[in-house]
Amino acid sequence: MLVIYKMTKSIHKHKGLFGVLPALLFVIFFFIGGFIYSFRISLGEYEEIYGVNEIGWAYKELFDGSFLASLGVTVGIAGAVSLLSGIMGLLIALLLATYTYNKTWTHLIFQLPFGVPHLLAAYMLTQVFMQTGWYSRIAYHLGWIDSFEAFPVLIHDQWGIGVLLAYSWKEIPFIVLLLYPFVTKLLHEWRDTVNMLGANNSQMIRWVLIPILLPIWVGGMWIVFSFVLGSYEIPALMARTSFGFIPVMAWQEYTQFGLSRQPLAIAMNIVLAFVSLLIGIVLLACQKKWYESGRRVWKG
Amino acid sequence: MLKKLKKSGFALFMVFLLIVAGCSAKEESKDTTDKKGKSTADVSVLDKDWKEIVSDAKGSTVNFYLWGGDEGINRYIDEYIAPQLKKEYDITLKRQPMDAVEFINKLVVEKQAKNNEGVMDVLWINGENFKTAKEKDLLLGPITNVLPNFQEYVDADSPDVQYDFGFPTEGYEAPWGKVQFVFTYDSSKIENPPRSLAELEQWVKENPGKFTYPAPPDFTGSAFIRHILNETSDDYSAYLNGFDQKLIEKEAKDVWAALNRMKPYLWREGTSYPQSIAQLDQLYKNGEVWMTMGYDEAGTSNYIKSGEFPESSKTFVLEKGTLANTHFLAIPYNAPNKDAAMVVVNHFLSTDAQLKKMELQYWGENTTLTIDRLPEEAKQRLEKIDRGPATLTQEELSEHRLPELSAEYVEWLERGWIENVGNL
Repeated sequence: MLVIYKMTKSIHKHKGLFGVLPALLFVIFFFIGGFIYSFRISLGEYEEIYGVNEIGWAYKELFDGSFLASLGVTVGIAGAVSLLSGIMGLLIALLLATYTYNKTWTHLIFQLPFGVPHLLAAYMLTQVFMQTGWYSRIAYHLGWIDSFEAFPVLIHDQWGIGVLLAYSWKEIPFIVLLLYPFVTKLLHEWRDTVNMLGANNSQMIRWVLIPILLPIWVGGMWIVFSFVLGSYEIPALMARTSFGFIPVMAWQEYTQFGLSRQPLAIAMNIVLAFVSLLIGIVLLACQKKWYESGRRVWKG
Repeated sequence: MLKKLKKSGFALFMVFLLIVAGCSAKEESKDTTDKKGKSTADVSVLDKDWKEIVSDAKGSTVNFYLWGGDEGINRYIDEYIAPQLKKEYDITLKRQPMDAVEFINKLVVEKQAKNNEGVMDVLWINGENFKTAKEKDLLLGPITNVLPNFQEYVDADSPDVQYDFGFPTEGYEAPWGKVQFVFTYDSSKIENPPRSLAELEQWVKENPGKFTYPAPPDFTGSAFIRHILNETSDDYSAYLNGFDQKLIEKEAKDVWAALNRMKPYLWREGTSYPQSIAQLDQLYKNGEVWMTMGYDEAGTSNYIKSGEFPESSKTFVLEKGTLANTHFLAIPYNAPNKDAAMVVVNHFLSTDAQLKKMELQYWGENTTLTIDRLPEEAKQRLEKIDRGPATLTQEELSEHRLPELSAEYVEWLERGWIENVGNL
């Protein structure tokens, strides 16, 4: 009798687990399997396909100055994109929710970039922003610049401005879409209370909205970060050659130099996945601490 | 609750069953293919009489795997070749667009799994991919001996048929087409195009910002730097033998030096290069640079015709020559319809198919057939083909033709460029 009682109790305790089982199996089947396989390739296994080499050669070859510099650039750009689109996205979501919540067309404008693939976005921005592009021609015809060369270098530029522009155009709408429903709901629920207590709008954003939104906001930025970290199209088309963006380098290694170099390409991606995972874990730990300390954002 | 547990338990059990079934199915197929592999079915297509091959090929479907990025090529296959094959041989040709690296990978994995009945019948390959395929035993065998059109019209002793980027073909692939590297310039802006590296350097310095090349390992950019090697090297023919690390290390220094001397005068002062030939063509189209290049002697004429390049575009070759390469068709070891695949490859080498391919409306590339061996009416037809306003004459092209280097050199130079020029 006691056994059955204990069993039902433990089933009850873990019932959530059974609910996620199908999804869990799906992830294990399609993700973990592939991940382990790729990881083994990157270590130098499957010699019949990729040639005989010492274990872990790809990682040894990777860890030199130039790769670490590339890693820095890649992580830096991904970080800049996620912060920029996070901040802009939050501002726009607030503006939309405050001023234009009843004008659907403004929302449509911000949803438009969703339908455009990254490759096409990069192509379109290149067409308009290159030195002989659309805007440069318009400026030239209006007499604002004397020659096409006077137009600022925005594509293939020194600092990755073109890459940043293209990503912002795609990722800001994502953050807006993520935050907007929450922002409208919170404004609706809290405005009266806040007004009654005599706080103004900025105080409300600071003390009410941001603390409540923080987990989803940071989560959204992390999604953007890991996406940018691994994606190839925009830097390949718009970045300076010597930028050394790792997804671009990995693609070159994978496609251009024969089977024997493919483990190296996979190793590069494993490193990126590791970085993104590491940052995810750090963020989760911070969040846990933050919940424990009473979800305080600001001191005072 | 218990019901739920039962359910998930059942699901788990099913998954377990599936795994077991999957494994055992694999075992089984391995057994049968082992037996099949030893049977003579694969070998015999190469020993069969041609008439027998044609009659056995009737009613089959052939999956042709090839790079699918050119509309003219796709139309040539879908609109011209496929209906012919259906009519003449009752073969259905299906074009399967895929990058060569990908289908070679697929084949490697199939070979690993001892899968003797694949899905690919005909492949379009050359260079590095052919080398991988031949070294890993992924191809059917010396097919060219069996193909009547190859026997009749192709000069099997010519180096462009015997070697594919320096690697001996030994009949494992049949030559499908030939292309030669040419430079393109806008004759409304440039009167006398440079004909050597020294002249190019001078021109670049006089016209800063008006020249650049795609960053290797882009295919065209990589070929461009091999031309620089040909220009600076004491004896380019030394590279046609096996890979010699010392030789290339010594001579590549001059290549990097020449490229770095030009660098400050290139587009964007050499701080960035177009990432692909498409980007360079775009810059040329917009007039941002005044020259472009391409591994296709008729490509510029094609672009003029479609209105993408200015009418004043012309092409030139270097005095010391430009590279030419042949690309090929091969049949994988596990092609499901080997007879039909042979018929298709043979048909691609027919005079009609080859001459049609030269027409600008489809592809515009050169034939692999030997002109002297063609029947009289085919020769006349060849002379009438208009290869476009910007395409150089056959004589001019063939007098300035260089053979390609082996894949090892190509790769070494690409890596070297990234380190010594691109990332500086």
